[in-house]
Amino acid sequence: MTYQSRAKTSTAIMLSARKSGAPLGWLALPFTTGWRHRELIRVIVQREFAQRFRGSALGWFWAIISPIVMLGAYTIVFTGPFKVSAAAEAGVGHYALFIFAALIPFNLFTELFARAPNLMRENAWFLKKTIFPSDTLGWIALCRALIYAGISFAILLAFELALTGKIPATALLAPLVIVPYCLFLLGVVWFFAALGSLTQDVAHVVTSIMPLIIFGSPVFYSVADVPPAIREFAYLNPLAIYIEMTRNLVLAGVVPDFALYGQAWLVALVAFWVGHAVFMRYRSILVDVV
Amino acid sequence: MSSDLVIRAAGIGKSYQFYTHYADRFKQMVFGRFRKFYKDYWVLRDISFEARRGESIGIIGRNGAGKSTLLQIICGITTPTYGEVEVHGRVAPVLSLGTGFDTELTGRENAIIGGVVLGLRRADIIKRFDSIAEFAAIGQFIDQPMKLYSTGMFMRLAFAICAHVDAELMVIDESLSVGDTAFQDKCRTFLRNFRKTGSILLVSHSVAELHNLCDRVVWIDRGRIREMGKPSEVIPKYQSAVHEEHDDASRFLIEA
Repeated sequence: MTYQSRAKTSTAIMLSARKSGAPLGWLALPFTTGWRHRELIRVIVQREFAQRFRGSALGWFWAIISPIVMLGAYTIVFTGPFKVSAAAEAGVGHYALFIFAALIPFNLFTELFARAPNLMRENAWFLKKTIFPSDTLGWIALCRALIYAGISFAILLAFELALTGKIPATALLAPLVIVPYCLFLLGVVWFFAALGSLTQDVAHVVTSIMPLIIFGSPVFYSVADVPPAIREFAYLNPLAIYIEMTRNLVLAGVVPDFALYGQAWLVALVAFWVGHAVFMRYRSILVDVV
Repeated sequence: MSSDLVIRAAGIGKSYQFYTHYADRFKQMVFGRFRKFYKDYWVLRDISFEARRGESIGIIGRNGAGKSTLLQIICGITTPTYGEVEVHGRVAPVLSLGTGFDTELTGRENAIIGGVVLGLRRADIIKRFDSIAEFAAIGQFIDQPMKLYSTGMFMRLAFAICAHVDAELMVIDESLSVGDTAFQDKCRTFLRNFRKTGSILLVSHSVAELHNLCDRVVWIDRGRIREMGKPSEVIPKYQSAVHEEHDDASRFLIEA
């Protein structure tokens, strides 16, 4: 391992990336640093789970039970005593599935978004005392959240199978949406982690706008329900793209529109690179301010 | 660039920004390019030195002189405000109290994470774990959460991990003095062997330790290098200077 440290670290890192790889090395940079530290990411994710379930007799059971409770609650609320008209149209349990399929990607976002501004501060003892590659914190947060989302996803599929007797074959295509979504999320995490370390106000802003995001995203409704006059703007919210596509693949068996899928990748890659660049730009001063 | 150069610090300086009001930090973010809203506190200024493979360098200086900041810069934990640092080879930092341990986790788990952070593979660390535990010699505590550890146990584990990562440079921050005599002896024996192949950067207030372990001593005074040379030359000067100076707060002035 050889490294150089200069007053402007970001340029030093950029330079070494350009030297070492292809001419477009900087495009691959966020991936290569993640890959280089894969062992570290793995060890720390394992640690987080070991820690979470330590001292609880049932361990993983708790990770499974909470999405089941949530899905159960939605089913009861929307099909039981409360006769919500949208739910009645969709049929018993279907509206619960409809919401739950959207809530999985949505919760993935909110969990990471809420955590991002404090990410550096939470790990300050690590960053200040060891040679810790701080950008891996983003990967670690993502992996952690993905594991819980994966559990919920499995429960969703099981529930769908039980209720409707089949899962559309297009559900197999879900990873094609999840991959760009993860890149988008990582970009968001890096961006807000950097901003949040500089001032704690960011964390408060994030918590205040969180309740608004759920209504601006097609969780309780679908984009098709949006009045035609403003439907075009629905996809200005990047979450809408990923939520709609995931739900359509998993429940309706509808393959996403090609243009929309292209937009998903475009948004993802822009968020990913911008997030990483901002994080790396401020990385060297973040250690001193958290 | 010579291949056996381990550290090259070329005119490095480090300042921290001191804000009088919290709002100033925000103003600095927004209007920083037009005006300065903070006071600089210069921890280090114009530090230049080099270390070759197998060379051990001691750093002395009074509290607040900038020794720990210098070590942090060498380790790559923080970056200098100006100047350049080059470090070649794997660094194992035994920094004062903690070395990035999660106190909720057991010593074993922290050893694995610590080893991976320093660039070892998980499998390698697990293979070496018995040897780490033997070096740390903290018995059953290795499988207890580290919040139950004493200061000495912390340091024992930190040193044991760093001794097992095939480092080329060990950076040690005053931590040896925390251990008891038996452990200090063990560490000294290790370091004497380590010096045959690797380099050591050691901050210490113990004159005997510096004499024993270091080829060269750098005396840092208020962020600048005051003397650099053989331990037998620099240490006596440092000691007489410390006796003459008053122990007051004048060393910690923040300039406008």
